[in-house]
This record gives sequence, structure tokens and C-alpha cells, in this order.
Amino acid sequence: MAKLANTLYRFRFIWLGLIIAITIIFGSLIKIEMDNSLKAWFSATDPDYILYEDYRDTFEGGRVLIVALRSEDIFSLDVLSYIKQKTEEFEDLPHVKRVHSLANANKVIGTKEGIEINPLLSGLEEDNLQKIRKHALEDELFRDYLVSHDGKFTAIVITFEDIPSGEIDKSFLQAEEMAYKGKPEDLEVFFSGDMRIYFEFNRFTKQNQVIFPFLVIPIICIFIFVLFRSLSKVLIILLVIGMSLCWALGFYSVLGFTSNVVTGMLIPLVIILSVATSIHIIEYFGEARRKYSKKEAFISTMTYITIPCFITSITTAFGLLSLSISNIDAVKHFGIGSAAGIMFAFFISIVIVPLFLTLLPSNQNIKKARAREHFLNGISKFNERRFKYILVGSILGFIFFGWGITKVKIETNQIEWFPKKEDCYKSAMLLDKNLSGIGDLEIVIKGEEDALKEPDILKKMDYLSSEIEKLPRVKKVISLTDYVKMINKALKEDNPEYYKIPESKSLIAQELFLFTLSDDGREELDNIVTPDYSQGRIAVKTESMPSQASVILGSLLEKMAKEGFSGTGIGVTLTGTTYLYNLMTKYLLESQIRGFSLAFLSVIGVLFVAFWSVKYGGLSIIPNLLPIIFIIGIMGWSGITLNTGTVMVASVALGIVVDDTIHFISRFRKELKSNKFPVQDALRETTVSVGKAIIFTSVINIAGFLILLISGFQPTREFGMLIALTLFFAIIGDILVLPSVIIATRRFLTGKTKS
Amino acid sequence: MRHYLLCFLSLIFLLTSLEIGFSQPTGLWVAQKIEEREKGNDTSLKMDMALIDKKGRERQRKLFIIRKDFKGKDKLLLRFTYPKDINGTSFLVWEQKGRDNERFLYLPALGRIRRIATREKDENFAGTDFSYEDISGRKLEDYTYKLIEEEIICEEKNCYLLASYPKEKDSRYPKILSWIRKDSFVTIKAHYYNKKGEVEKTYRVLKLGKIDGIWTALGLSMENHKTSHKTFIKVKEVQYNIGIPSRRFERRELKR
Repeated sequence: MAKLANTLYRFRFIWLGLIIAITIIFGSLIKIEMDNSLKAWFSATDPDYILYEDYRDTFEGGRVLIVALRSEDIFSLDVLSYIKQKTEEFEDLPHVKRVHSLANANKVIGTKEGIEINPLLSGLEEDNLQKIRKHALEDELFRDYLVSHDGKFTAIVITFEDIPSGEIDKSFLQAEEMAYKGKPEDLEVFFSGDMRIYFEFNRFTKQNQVIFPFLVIPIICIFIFVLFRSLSKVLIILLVIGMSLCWALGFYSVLGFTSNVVTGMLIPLVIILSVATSIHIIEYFGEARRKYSKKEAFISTMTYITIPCFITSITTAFGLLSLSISNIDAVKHFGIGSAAGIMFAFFISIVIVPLFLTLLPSNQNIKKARAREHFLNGISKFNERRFKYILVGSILGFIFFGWGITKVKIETNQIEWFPKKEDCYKSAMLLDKNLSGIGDLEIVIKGEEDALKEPDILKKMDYLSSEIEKLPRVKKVISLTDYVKMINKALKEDNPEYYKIPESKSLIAQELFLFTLSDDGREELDNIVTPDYSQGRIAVKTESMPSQASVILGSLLEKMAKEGFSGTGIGVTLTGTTYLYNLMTKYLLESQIRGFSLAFLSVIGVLFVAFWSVKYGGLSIIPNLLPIIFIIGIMGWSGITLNTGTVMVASVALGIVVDDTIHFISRFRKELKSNKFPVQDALRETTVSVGKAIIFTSVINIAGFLILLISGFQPTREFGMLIALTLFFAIIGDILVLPSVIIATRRFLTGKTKS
Repeated sequence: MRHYLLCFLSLIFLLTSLEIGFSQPTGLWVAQKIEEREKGNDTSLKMDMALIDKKGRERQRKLFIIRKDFKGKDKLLLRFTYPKDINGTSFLVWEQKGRDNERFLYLPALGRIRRIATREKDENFAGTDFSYEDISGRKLEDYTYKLIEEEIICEEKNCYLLASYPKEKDSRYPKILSWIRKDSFVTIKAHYYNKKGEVEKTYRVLKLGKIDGIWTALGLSMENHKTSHKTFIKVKEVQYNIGIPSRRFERRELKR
């Protein structure tokens, strides 16, 4: 290692040039597109995602923006005229495929003479308002879908093309501006649908990328300045952060990954974690500088610090990299990108930091250090006196929080990822309560051509729909049968007795044919059945609910549908956005178990190799497992759910917290060996010297991660809070529990050491 | 302007010619010439339609159409023969001046004739990409015209390029550009512009022939670029002036 340090010193400016060159190359490669659509979560090769895309392509397509309107009386001339006008205006917006509202929804009315098929608002005049109201509230297809049963809520549903994620913001803002223009005073407007959610996700992503760095960097600077009392050292660390970011983002771009609300945390994470190595180098260099010349201090620092820093970096990287086996793309990409970022930060720190330190005059702050040493001495003495209590407390903690783990719930309902005070959440909930609900489960049925004109099949479909509608949490079920029944009734002079599926296939075919004669009618039917009548969907709109309930409902629907069509030759599949998010609960659980197992095995494996000792390897498990168990237990007890953010906590935290253990045990063994101290003295020396760095790096990390609490995205907030809390427990683990375990097992440990 | 499609199909009535002479061709003059083209007193034809959706799935429809001029107002009977499940489904259209046309529907499986009232402008022709308006015809006075080019080559033929603008404000297609053959006053291509100024639909005559001395479009297509839906129409067994009896356009005839 000394040789390497010498070589590094000799060619330090060449290395610097190389690092700068690579930084420029990576910097020029940075080009990351934002994508917060479902593609962010699901792999393009995921069979369920492919099925969902196929369903969307067959029936709906596009991205939906729901403009919900609330007024004491939706059926006033003012409001209806507004709806009519906006329906036309929205149609003219770029990328809009279709607008569906009371203005263009077809009403089918049977009269003695014949049949009228017209848009509901086609004869909009003061005298017709009562008629329009009556029809809208009585029509099965309108009520609780386009208009609430009390006539106070209505929705304009805008379907956009599959526009790139980057253009979503523009389209959303245009629609928002348009909706407010010329709005009647007493009319309230709310926005929901996936366009709104993607818009908010984009906002959070930008927040992660821009606002967090602006807050995290000053905090880090302040801490570093407090620690070292040197502006130059602050600048050195800023340089390392900047270069590490360039490398990480350049590399991320080369891999072709997109940015989203989860991977957007990459930037704050790399900033926070890239600091630790630099701090350790600066600390050690400072100590060495008291004894040696600049060159000697450089070589001494590099000789001692390279391996521990490499190990701490590689363990952090392993923790992050374990996320790459997740089925959720966002989590996977975040893991790979941040792991690379950590290793880049290590490499850059090793080259840049000692080099620049040699260019600075020495600067010590012994007084402050002494104050901290005094505190840590106290801790060390406390450990010696109370180690049994600490161990008993830890064991009780293990049991209590271990029990909490069994109570952890998984949550993948997108809307629950928003804080309850957010406008987006409130709008969604209003819609959920007053209209058809924001949950969307889709039963896709598939048969031969024209199968969906068969009376038997349609009757089964109708029966299934009515049974599903009786289920709790189901708000509305829409399928082809609603249209067939409606037209059948209209053709029979609106006699309610005929609101049923006709017995004749020809009549069904002819009735449906009649409905497709208008553009709007054809579009409505295309939404629910394929033109060859081989495939149809039963759209089950549900209220927003916890994932667990949603998974149960999904399974029930699948079972009912399969039983309902058994023996008919009709194939049944379940899909829909809610179904996909339900699926994510499985992926999250798998990610948690597999990811953490992998992180645990790889990180602890590195420790066994690094310490080259089964005893110390085993010892290192205790202070690292403790904060993880505690944190997952806290999630269970406090009701914080496992989501796209919190699923990463255990793996990421393990990679970070293990660093302190490495520093602690390395130093302890060094003290034990070199000075032949008794265990207690070696421990005290270690606690005081390494404890400083442990507390300081942890405090910086904690402060950095706590910044994430300002995010509007619940998983990000919870991720930040839980990591910060884990780091806090890790301090306890390293400076209280680990020394206590060492004291308790000193004979066993030192016996091995001495031998 | 009378719409080119109905001209081609020779389906619709002849309006009284406006005997106005023009020394220089103008948009209105071209539109009038299209109006004045010979369409025959009555027509009988068969039509095969292929409807192709964005995924390339094809649906076929076949129908039989007769039309007759009743003192400047047309009556039209459409009867579907394929697919089997809609065989016999028929529409009868009586053109009215100054109000919506009267339309009757017969669904054989229902066994009853029903009067049908819809907003015709929104309706497509038998589920195709051609609108009902394309078929039943636009009134000359409903549009303003501008001759964009007096001489333009389209499909290797000398054409006029005519822009038509509907007077109605909320029209779905505020501008239609038509390429009209100079030798026959038949529109052989047209672009329908939507409110965003994009070409939403493209109309083409794929085959044009002279039957009984009357120019007739024998192959047509309409493509909707927004929905990627296409319709191809093949016209066959066209006969003009065969003396179709007036009773064939009575309501009760729908059931036959």
C-alpha cells in the first residue's frame, strides 16, 4: 500500500488531470429524460405490464386528465355552457385524442315513433335544463361516472396521446389554464387522473434534483466548516461532490436510465454519501500532519486510509447494488446509479483530497477536539460500567422491534404516496367519494370473433357485472352490456322492462351497429369492445383503498370472472392500473427480502474478508443488524408502510451503517495489537478517536437525509426519515452496543487475538 | 359546393343550377360546376366497404343503395347485406330543405321501423370514416370558397385546388382543400383540416370511370390520421336512369 501511495504522490498531478478529463467527458454525457409513468416502475419485459399495455392499446390508450367540477347545481345554464365550451376547447389542445363529458356523451331516448341518439347537451337552453338533469341522473352510464348522483359533481375526461413524460407538464398546465379561463364564479375545479399524478411526480423529481442539493450542500458545508474550521477543506469537499455527481449522472445517462421520483433521490444521496471518505481522509491527514511533512503525511494517510475507505465504500455500494435485483425498475436504476456514484466518489476522494491537502497550510483545532473527546471518554466509561444493562436493553429492543417487523404493511396505492394535505390527494379523494372512484381494475374477456354479440355471453357478463357491483368498495361497473341494454330499451319505446340483454344475436348486432353510426358512439364502443367483438372489458371502478384490500378484491374478481365464464371458451384476464400497483406489493416484498438478504450477505461477507476473522466478522453483524431491525420494527409499530421509498431503507442503511463498524473494529484491533493495551483501554482509545468521526459523519448524513422530509412525495420523506433514524441507531450500535459486546466477550475475542 | 363524394357516387339530388356566368373561374364557380354535374335521375349500386382499424384489423360491410330525385330533393335507401348479422338492416333518408333530413331505420331482428333522430353532422356513414354529411351532401350556400390554384397537377391530371370554409362556426373541419379534375369536375383528393390546423382526414378517389356517360367514383378511400382508421369503398353494378319506382322509397319498403 505504501508503494501505491508513493506512486500516487509522484504522479499526483497526472492523476488529477485524468480525473478532470473524465469529469469533463462524463459531464458532457449527462442527458437524462424524466419519466414518471408506469414505465418507471415496471420493466418493459414484465408479462403483466405487457398485458396491461396491450389492454391499453386495445381499448383506451393515452394518458387521462380528469377535470372535476363542483357546484351547488351542475345543471345550471352557466355551468353546462361552460362544460360544453370547455369540451370543445380541450379537444383543440395539442396531443388530445378525445374529450368525454356531459357535453358529448350520447343520450339514447326511445319514443313512440322511434329513437333519438344525441349528445346530452345538444339542445342546451334554459327550458331544457330539467330534462337534461333528469336524463343525466337517470342514465346508468352517466350517473356516478360523469355526474354524481346528487348533481353536484361532474367530470370532463380528457384523454391525451401517449405523450413523452417531459411534455406532460406543458399539456397539464395548458389544460389547467384553459379550465380556469371563463369559469363561472361558484364553480370549483379539481384535477386528477394519471396526467395529474405524473405531473406531481415530475414536480417531486425536479425537487429532488434541484431543491435538495441546494439545501443539502450548504448544510454539509456548515458541518464541515464546524469540524475543520477551514474554508479550503470545505471547497475541497465541494469539488469532490461536484465531480462525483458529474461521474454518477454521466454514467447513469450512458446506461440509458430515465429519471423519476425515486431515482431523483440519486443526487442528494450521492452528495451526502460522497462526503464520508473525504472526512476520514482529512481527519487522518490532520493527525499525520502533526507528526510528518506534507509528503509523509500524504503517504501515511494513503497507506492507512485507502483500504478502510475502499471497504466502507464498497459495502455502501453493495448495499445499494442489492437493489438492482428488484423487479421495480425505479428501485433497480436507483441502486445501480447510486452504487456507481459511491465508488466514483471514493476514487475521486482518494486522488483529489490528499493532493489538495498537501497544498494547504496546516490548521488544527485542538480545543474543540478535546471537548468532544471528553464526551466520548464519558461514553466509554459508561460502557465499561453498564455494559450488561446495555446488552439487556439491546436484546429487549431486538425482541420488541423484531415483533414490530411482523406488523409491516405494504402500500402501493399511488395516491397514498401523497401527503394528505396535498391538493392532488384532496382532489383524488373528492373524485373518489363523489364519482366513480379512482381505483381501476379491468377484467378483459377474450373469445372468437363476434363472441361478444352472443346473448349467452352477454348475459353472463351482465350477471357478473351486477354481482361485482354488489361487492364492498366497488363503485361502478361499466361494460358492453350497459350499452346493449340501453339501446334495447330505447328501441322498445323506453320501456324499462326491456332494459335487458335481448335473446337474439342478430338484434344485439343490429342494435350495436346502430350505436356505431356516430363518431362519438363508435368511440364510446371502441373503449369497451374491439371492433370485431372478440374482446371486451368490464371496467370495475373502485374507491381508493389500502393495497392489502385491493389485492384481496383483485383476486376475488379474477375468481368470479373465471367461474362466470367457465365452459364458454371465453378467456379472462385481470389488469388495470390498480392491478399493476397491486402487483407491485408482491414486487416490493420480494425486493425487500431478496434485496436485503443480498445486501446482508455481500456486506457482511466483505467484513469477514476484510477482518479475515470469523469472530470479528460475527461481531460486526450485531451493531449493524440492530439499527435495521429497529427501523423495520418502528415501521411496523408506527404504521409506516413498505413502499417504493421505504423498501430501499434496509439495504441502503446497511451499506452506510456498516462503515462506522469497519472503522471502529479496524481501529480497535490496531490499538489492541500495536499498544498491547488491555481491552478496556483499547476500547476507550477507539471510542474516543473513531467515535468522533463516527458521530460526525453520521450527524452530517442524518442532517442530509432529514432534508428529504420537505419532499411532497411520501416515500421520499419516509426514506429520508427512516435512514436518518437508522443512522442514529447505528451510532448507538457502534459506540454503545458494540463496545458492550466486546467487553462481554473480551476473553473470547482477545484470546483469539493473542493467539 | 356539393360534396365530391356524393357527386362521385351520384347518389344525391341535383340542385337547380344557378345560371351565373363567370368570365374568370372563382371558388364559387368551381363549386357550382361540381353541383351542376350530371348525376342521373336515379341510381342503383352496390358497395363493398373495408373498415381497417389502427391495428390493421379489417371489417367488411356490403350494402345496396338506390336513390331517386324527387323534384330536387333526393330519397335514398341503404340496405346492408353483409355481415350476416346485420343483413337487411336498412335506412331510408328523405332529404328536406331547411331542416334535418327525415330518416327511418329498420332492424330486421326487431321487426319494426323506427324514425331515427341524430345530429347528422356528427354521424359517420355506416360506421365508416366518411361522415354522414359526406354522403348526404353539403349545401352550396353553407360554405364559402376560395380558389387556391387554377392549375395544379394531381394524380397526373390538371386540377383546380379549391378551399371550402363552412359558415357554421363550430364545424369539426373548418377547412377542406379539394383537388378537382378540370375535365370532369370530380374531386379526386381532399384534405380535411381540424381546428388545430392539422390534416385530420384524407379523401382519395382510387378509381374513376364513366358509366352511362356519368363520371362515377368506383373506388374511394378515407383515412383518419388521428385515429389511424381507414375506410376503402368499392362501388359496383352502378346503373343510372333505370326508372326506379317511387314506391321503393316508401317507409314500408324498408321491410322488404
